Amino acid sequence: MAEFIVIQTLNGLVYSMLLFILALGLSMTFGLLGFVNLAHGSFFLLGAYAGLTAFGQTASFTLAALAGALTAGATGYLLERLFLKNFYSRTALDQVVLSFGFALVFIDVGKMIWGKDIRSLAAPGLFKGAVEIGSTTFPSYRLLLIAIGVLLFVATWLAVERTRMGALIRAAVSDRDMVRGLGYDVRALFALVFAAGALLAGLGGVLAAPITSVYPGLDFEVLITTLIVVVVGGLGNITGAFWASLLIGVSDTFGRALMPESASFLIFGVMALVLLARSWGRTEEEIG
Amino acid sequence: MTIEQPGMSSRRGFAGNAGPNRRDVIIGGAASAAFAVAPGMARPALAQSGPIKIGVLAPISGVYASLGTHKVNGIKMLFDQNGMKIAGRPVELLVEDTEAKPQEGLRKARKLVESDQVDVLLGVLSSAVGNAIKEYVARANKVWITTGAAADGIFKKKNNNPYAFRASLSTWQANHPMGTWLAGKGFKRVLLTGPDYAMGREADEAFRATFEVNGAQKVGEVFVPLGTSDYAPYLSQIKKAEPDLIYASYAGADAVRFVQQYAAFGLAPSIKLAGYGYLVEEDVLVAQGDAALGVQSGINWAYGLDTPENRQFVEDYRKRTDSTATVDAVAGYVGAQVVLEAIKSLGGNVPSQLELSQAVGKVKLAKTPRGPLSFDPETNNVIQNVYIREVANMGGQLHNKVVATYENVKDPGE
Repeated sequence: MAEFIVIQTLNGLVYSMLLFILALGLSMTFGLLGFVNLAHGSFFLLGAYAGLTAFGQTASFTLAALAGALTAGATGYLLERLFLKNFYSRTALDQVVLSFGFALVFIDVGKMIWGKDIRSLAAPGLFKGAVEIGSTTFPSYRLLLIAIGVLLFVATWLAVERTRMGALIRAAVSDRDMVRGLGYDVRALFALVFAAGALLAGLGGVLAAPITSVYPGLDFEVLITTLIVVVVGGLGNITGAFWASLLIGVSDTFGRALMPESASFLIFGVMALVLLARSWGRTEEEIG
Repeated sequence: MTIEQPGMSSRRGFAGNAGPNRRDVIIGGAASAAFAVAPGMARPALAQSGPIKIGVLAPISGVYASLGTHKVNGIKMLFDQNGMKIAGRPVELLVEDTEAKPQEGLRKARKLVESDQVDVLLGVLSSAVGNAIKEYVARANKVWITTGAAADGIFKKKNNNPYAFRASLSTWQANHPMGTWLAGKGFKRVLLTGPDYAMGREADEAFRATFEVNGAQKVGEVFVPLGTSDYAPYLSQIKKAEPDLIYASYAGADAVRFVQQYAAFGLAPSIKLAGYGYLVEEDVLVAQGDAALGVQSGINWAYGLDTPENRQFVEDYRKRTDSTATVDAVAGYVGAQVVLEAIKSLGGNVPSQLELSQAVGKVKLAKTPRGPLSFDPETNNVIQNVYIREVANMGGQLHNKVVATYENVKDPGE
């Protein structure tokens, strides 16, 4: 029994960390830029594919992760500079529709470049094995993912809470116009945050690849779950994204282990409960 | 845009023009009745001019895109090998994308039958689309040969109609012999697992029916939502049931992940893994890698099937598409062979859909890349060999080799 809890908690943590890497970028993009980027899943998949290509050339997982992150980040930056920046004066709906357009285009571009078959990425050599936990064998790569996720949270939190750039971002999230009024280039900030979000998504793609495999359609699968996490965690909130990832990740894992039949809708139920609890007894203006 | 006059109907026709008025309806109705009756009247068997139009339905985009593409490749290859002709008459292939969605598939089928006026419908992979099409062709009186749609319920004795044929397989056909085979190997405790929908459950049930003999029994089951990416929560449950065998009905990305994670979590040496052919088919073996070695599965073809027809097929497919042939490519190819044989037997003509359907029913192929093929008149389902395969290293790459053959397997259609 104790072993069951330990193993499933570890499983939950792994899933949470993958969710966090994605939710972080999406949450910050919304917090700062004010719209939900529906192409976020596409950056994830793009990173995974780029990582696959890089691994094919170099047989190095580290380089693959770098390639995935940078490709997604660069694409995000270009998308922002070439298209999105012209849309900041438009409504949020226009921006969402634009991002969805990117997502749709990427579906076909991805198939043209990398084909339609299911591809896989092997875990890095050092982490190919497994460790014994009680009577269960647990893959070491998953433990590595938990470590990376926690490191990422700490690093991002420090960057946003303790650096000047971070303060700027937090200020712009609170009051964009005031920051602009103080003379800062808010547009450059947008590009930076958008690119950073895309970079994280791309990195997530490569890190998740040994577990989820890489195939067309993965982009929208992860997008849905990420949206749930971001809604639960609050938009533009790093610690919120972290706790929401933990909540969704662990509850989903335990839900599947204990009641497999409920697996498809459990996390939606959790999201509904959280939203309900958050708005209980508060008026519309208070939630605002 | 015409100005309405008295005597014109207020019904709107296409593009907002005036719809049919009573005179038009009577004349049109009489004409249609005449044409409907005409085939029954003695007509000279004129050689038809113009190409034979074959409507091909497959999921070229969406979740089954890769399987659909293989199917279409198989179909095109067969007709190319015959110079795009049947009995001297040219063939035109009209390929439409079903996206593996029933409403989309139905829409495309309607377009092919009603506006493109195809002579025959070929294809469909998803059982959901298959269900919709089977009903449609019975109403539209159009012959349809499916290369997929394996759900047991689609082709039964009680819903048999003369126009719909299944040249691929039924889930029952592929999994039933596996039960006999694995029970014969001495396994006693099986855990069933798969995606929680019709295909996943039917496959496991068909297996279980023949496996549970002489004291062998099911010790547990784990059915998960289709598209589950992480099996970690389920694997410890599976281990706890202490099976000596896991029978899995996953396909596509699910199959890749399940097999990989089954190995990564250390279940491999102590618990044998076997399943429905798609678990370790050629299209997922590359991604699965060594985790798939030794896994046995059952379906109506194997890459390593050692017949001259198959060896030739595999080689031709590789030359043409630069990729490994899969069971879906064979399904497309063989389905096309059935169409070719049927129309050839009518001298290259399609005088009526009823005659075409009779010709299809009579098709008996002895040497397809999968072996012999014929149709069961009670269900219009194919009668064929089912192969038990094992993943092995063949010339440096992983492929499925045949370890046993069950001949002339017929779905009872109950």
